[in-house]
Amino acid sequence: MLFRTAFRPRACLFAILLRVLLPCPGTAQDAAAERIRAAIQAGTVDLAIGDARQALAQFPQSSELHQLLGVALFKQGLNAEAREALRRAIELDSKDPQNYYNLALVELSEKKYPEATRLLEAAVRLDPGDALARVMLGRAYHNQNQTIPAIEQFRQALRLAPQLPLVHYHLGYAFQSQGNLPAAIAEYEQEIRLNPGFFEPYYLAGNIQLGRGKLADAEGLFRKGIGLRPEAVQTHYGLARVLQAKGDLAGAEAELKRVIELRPAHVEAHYTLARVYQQLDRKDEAAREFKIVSEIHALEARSSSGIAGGREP
Amino acid sequence: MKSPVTKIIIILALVAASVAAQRPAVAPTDQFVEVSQQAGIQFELTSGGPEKRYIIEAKGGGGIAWVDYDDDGFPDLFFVNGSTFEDWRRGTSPRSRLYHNNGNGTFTDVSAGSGLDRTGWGMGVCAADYDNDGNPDLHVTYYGGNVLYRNLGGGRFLDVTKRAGVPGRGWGMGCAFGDYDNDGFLDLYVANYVDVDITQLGEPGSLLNCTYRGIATFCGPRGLKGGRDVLYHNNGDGTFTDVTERAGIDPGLYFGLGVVMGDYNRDGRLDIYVANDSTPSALYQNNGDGTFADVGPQSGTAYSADGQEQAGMGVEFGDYDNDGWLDLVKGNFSDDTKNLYRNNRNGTFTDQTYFAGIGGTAWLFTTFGAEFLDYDNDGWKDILLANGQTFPQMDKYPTGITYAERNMLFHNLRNGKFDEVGLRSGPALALKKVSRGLATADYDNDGDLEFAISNMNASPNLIRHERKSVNHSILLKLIGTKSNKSGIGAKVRVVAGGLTQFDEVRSGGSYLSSPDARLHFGLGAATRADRIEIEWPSETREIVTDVTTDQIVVLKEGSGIVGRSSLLKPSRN
Repeated sequence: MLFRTAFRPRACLFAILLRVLLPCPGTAQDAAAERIRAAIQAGTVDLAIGDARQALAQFPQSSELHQLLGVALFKQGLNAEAREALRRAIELDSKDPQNYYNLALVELSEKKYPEATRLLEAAVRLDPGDALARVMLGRAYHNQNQTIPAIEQFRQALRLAPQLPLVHYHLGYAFQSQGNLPAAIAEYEQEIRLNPGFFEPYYLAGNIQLGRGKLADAEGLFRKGIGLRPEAVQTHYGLARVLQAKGDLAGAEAELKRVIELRPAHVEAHYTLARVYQQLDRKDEAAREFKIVSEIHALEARSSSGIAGGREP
Repeated sequence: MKSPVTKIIIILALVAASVAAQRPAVAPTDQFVEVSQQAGIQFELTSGGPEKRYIIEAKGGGGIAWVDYDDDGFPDLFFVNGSTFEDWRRGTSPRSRLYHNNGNGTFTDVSAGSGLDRTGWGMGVCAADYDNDGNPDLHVTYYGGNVLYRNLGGGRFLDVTKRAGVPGRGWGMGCAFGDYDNDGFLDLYVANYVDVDITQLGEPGSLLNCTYRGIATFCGPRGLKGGRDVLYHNNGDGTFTDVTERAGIDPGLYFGLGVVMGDYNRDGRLDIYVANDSTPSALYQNNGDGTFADVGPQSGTAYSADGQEQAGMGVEFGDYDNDGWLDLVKGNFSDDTKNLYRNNRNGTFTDQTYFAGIGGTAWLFTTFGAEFLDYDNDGWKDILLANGQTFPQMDKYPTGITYAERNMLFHNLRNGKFDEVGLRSGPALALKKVSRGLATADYDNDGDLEFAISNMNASPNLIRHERKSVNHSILLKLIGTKSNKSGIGAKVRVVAGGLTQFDEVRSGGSYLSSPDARLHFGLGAATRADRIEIEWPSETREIVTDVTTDQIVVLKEGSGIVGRSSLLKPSRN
């Protein structure tokens, strides 16, 4: 997650104008903030935490310093303390959207989506032009079965920052979860153009093309995905299904075995392998794979919701 | 729901969005209207309370049967009713209803005095003439024991359950009549759902099995014990024998819902497909010796295309690609594909749902009723899906899923693909209700198919054509002599206008429902059927040629055409 700790000049025109003549009450605080910020960005989080605590002893009413301390603590995995610091930052400056945004990221990291949502809604209310906050809000919505408002946030984020990567991906995923495959694939294609090193859209778009029977397009996407992340099962599985559809059963078998090697309980791979064996007239091996499918399902049924549905795209 | 990206990176490049090309839509000419009130149908399906806290309240029933019980040539309509916990405990459950088709677009409730008196928590129905006396009978499923009504003629039915030996067990759902051993008498398959005491069901959200998408919902079916389906063999003397164990039916105790029979592998023996909820669906291949083998997994019809268990509900056989082999359509839950299984003619099927254009379109919908029907009489079977969620709780979340849903009509584009035309086909298909049962019939005998759809805690939809295509059609009523009198299992090929179509006579199917037993064939511009070929279950083969279209033709085994009447002109169109 990306915390934001941008420098925020306070109203110190008097001090700036008279810097040489008079000490500005903000100068030392700003300098401390800059040091902490630099330490966080450099990854020396311990240093940042120590520095922040020291600065706060001197400037206990500084919202910015509390915010920086919260960010550093979160980076250190100290969520409870981070939450406390960030809440204090909000108390001291309830008009700074950044405080809400950063606390929301702590909540998101613990999958506390309702809390994160409230904070991000506040952040967006205070700064409607914050594209990143809208993306995060969209993600929080999506994780709470609120796909339609999620889509709206992703769209608004793109209107504000058309070049912001991963938003097309999120939007595509949300469309796909609505069954809107043409819109989903358009977004995935955008994401791939914008962010060609990012893995996920390749297999998601590949799956859509495979379903449409566009095997060459699907194969290209899956192979690019494999190039990016050779150990990912999604693309190997997708490629296997393309090869099966093309009649390259040996190739499909090899890819499916690779998936099973990577993830032994991949039920889709076992099922597809069974069907490939059927096509190859290797009945015993097919029967063995069907049996594995049945066994995996029996295990999954014990730890699933009451009804088979609710699948991700 | 997972939203996997956790890293935001600013990149400067941006390429303008491209819009995926949309396939040009086919403008449907046929328009549908809902006419239940003006037709005189006052029925309301009772099914528990509005919150659907328990599984029995949410799954239906809602079975519907089109059955010409008085043999006047107009299919009549039977609605199965459910109950509430209060009424069920008190023994005051509402009655199921039989409506007589008056032949003029209206129906009359003839339940009183009909003998169709059993009340309880009703579910499904199938209709056929099990005793070969010429009168179609009714089998109705319930939670807590089923009923077989023998049609005595004259609008009177008699509960013969006990004598016939078909009491059922547990929670009956879908049923279907079919002569699996070709002895001339119709056997009976009954799907059972879960084996529970409905007074002892868990509370919503109390277990993981009582949630959906993390939302507290009724418990099950997962986490509950499945009920074993039952296969009854008709002894030919008015009684049946439970042959479930010997036949090898449902040893896995799957959660059975929809049932349909058809000869999927064309070996002359009826096979049985059962849409199971949240367990593998079953395709029982008839071994010809009184036993069956579940070839669901091997055939590719047990799971989704990628091997996932699905919440199978309604199911129907039909030859949508006109290759002479029965394909399957099946309804499933939301956030999942429905199934269109194309028969590969080698004992296997391929799930064509995405390729056909159904996968994404129906993704969010929960489909119960599912039927093939050639609504525009162009000779290619279209698909109708009756939708409705089981969880009213979904309305609290803006997911895109709603409790009440519109039904969907997929027009067959003749190339393996379908175009969803529901919202362009008149007001009836834009209605949002919580639909369950679905059954088709040309109830006004004007040559095009209408349909009845049951809706939870609401009145049903009776949907007829307001405006229809100018294509021709033919309705075939089959009467067996050596074969079972209903002609169930008879295979019919109709050659007209250069196209050969295939269908079988069925009882049961869709979701807990039973269609008009007459076969309907749309014939496009053809004014004559060059050839009608019938393969009876007795293996008798008959061919009639040069049959004028726009007729109802009665074909009797061994006698050819024994009756015909012109289709009625659609006075309201």
